[in-house]
Amino acid sequence: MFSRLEFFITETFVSMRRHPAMAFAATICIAASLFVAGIVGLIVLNVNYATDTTLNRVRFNVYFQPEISRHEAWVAYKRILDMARVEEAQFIPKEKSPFWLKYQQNHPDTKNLLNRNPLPDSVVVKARDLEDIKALKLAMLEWGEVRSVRDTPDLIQKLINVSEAVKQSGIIIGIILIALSLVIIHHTIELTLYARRREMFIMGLVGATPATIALPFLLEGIIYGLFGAGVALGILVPLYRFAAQKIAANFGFALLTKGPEMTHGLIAVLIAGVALGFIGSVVSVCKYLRTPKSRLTNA
Amino acid sequence: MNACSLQPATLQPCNLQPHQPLPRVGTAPDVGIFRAMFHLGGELGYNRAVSEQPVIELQQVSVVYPNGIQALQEADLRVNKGEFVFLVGPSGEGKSTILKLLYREVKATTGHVLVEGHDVGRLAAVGVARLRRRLGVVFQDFRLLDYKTVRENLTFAMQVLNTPPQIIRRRVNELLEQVGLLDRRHDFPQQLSGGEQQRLCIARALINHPPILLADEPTGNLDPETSVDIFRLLEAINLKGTTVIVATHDHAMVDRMLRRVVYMCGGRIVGDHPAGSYYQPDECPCDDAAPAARGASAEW
Ligand SMILES: Nc1ncnc2c1ncn2[C@@H]1O[C@H](COP(=O)(O)OP(=O)(O)OP(=O)(O)O)[C@@H](O)[C@H]1O
Ligand SMILES: [Mg+2]
Repeated sequence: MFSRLEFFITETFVSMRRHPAMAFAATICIAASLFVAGIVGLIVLNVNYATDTTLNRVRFNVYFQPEISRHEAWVAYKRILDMARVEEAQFIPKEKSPFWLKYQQNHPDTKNLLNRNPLPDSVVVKARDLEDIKALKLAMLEWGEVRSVRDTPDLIQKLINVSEAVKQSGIIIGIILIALSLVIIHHTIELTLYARRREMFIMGLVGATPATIALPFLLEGIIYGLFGAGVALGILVPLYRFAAQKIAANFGFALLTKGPEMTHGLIAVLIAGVALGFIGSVVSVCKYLRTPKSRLTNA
Repeated sequence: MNACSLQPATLQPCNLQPHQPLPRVGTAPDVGIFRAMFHLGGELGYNRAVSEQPVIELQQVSVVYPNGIQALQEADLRVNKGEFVFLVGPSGEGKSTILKLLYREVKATTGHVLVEGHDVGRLAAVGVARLRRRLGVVFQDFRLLDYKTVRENLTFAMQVLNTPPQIIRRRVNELLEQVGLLDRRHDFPQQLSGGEQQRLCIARALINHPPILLADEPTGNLDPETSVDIFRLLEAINLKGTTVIVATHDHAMVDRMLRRVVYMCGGRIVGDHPAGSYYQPDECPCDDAAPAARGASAEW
């Protein structure tokens, strides 16, 4: 069995060496498809990761009326803390409000431009559950002290939108690239079949079964797929590491770099490569084996 | 002139003269043709017993190609185990078609083709593969793999069938010895003469020990001297018990070898001459209306 496999692999490489340009094109095309698919996948993974982790916080902001005193605000805060569906709550005096802090940071020299803080005191509430948020907000809006409630992260919706857009365009680009890869692999294998019609004829003549005759061509497709996936990963992985480093350094935002999703992603890229190569060659080989024998006669 | 009524003087036994001097056959140029023939036949053993067991049977076989050409009409043929049969006839009359029927390159439109008792028309893909392991096929244009050496060409035909390496090595050497190519084993087909390429093609056909050998104009591209070599090899193979069917235009050899001759004309088998008798084309049903036959007569 081993010598047989070795034989077929040798035969496959012999045939690939006979048309290196097509072999290169097929590999590069698969690599390009998988590269783009990989980028889309990484973006989707990260957006999901970000929205998940943000949503996990289930937080929202409660802003008090600006007229009420610090004491009244504090009492209201205590009431919030006592609510059953509130897991935790944090009182944010207006002078500690992130907006105010940021404003001061951005205008260190012009403190007088806006010397009175217009913001109200607020509370960041964390609900026990995502479903509780709505009821909590409605209940609090009834109170006289509360002027408004707002989702802390406007970001969440934005992220969800981005993730949807990325997924959709990714699917479209992916389909186009996969179709392109299949066409190119199909043509590469057809060229191989044409170049190797004499071998196929001889194989058939000495009594090889169709499966045996097809095997080297399927292997060839699979090898293109594996090479393509290898090239795609070889570029994608270091590139992503580099990007993650840069983003972490410049924006303080940690990209997803490990965990089961990443491992699954890597495996998925490899499998996709093999599948692309396999399907592309199956199509050509089946077509070829089904053509009238007379086409093979003049091998 | 009608192709089939054509009786070249050389075909008649009384004034039979070799078309060319017989190389390596007679001991001296003045040796009589009968002695020369006896020599060839005797050396190669044409008169050895042939069993009565049919290995190939065509029963009322007709073949119509997709383009509407009727290549074979209700042909009946029976070949026994160990026989050596020549298929002769003008060009385009269905000789190759008969061979293609046997290795299932072509399917009979009507009728049955039996090889070793199996109806080849009924075989599925795996059955066809199994059938072809029982047949060796030799072509006029050799169909060797140019980028493989002599040795590798033979090895390939065994590796495809998953033969263990030790057996491949032994068998390849044995066959290279038999066809006289042992010292050329590392050369590429392009470095061989036509005759050597054909010997390699024969070796490849024999590699998996087929009981039947089919040869389609094996000497079509070779000079007469080399052709004798090839026919000697085919005879020797036949002597070892392999049934051999040769489609050929090589009239000189057919005359010389005194084997069974099946004569084809207009897609029909019109004559069947048993081994040992001189072959003479019968009067045949094709007339001037058969342009293929007429066109071919020049070649004869
Ligand atoms: N694959 C094919 N498709 C259509 N017609 C074919 C095919 N093969 C052969 N023919 C036709 O069938 C007829 C018989 O062909 P075949 O090859 O059997 O002749 P042949 O006796 O071997 O001739 P030759 O001596 O020239 O080799 C010819 O008229 C040929 O044109
Ligand atoms: Mg022919």
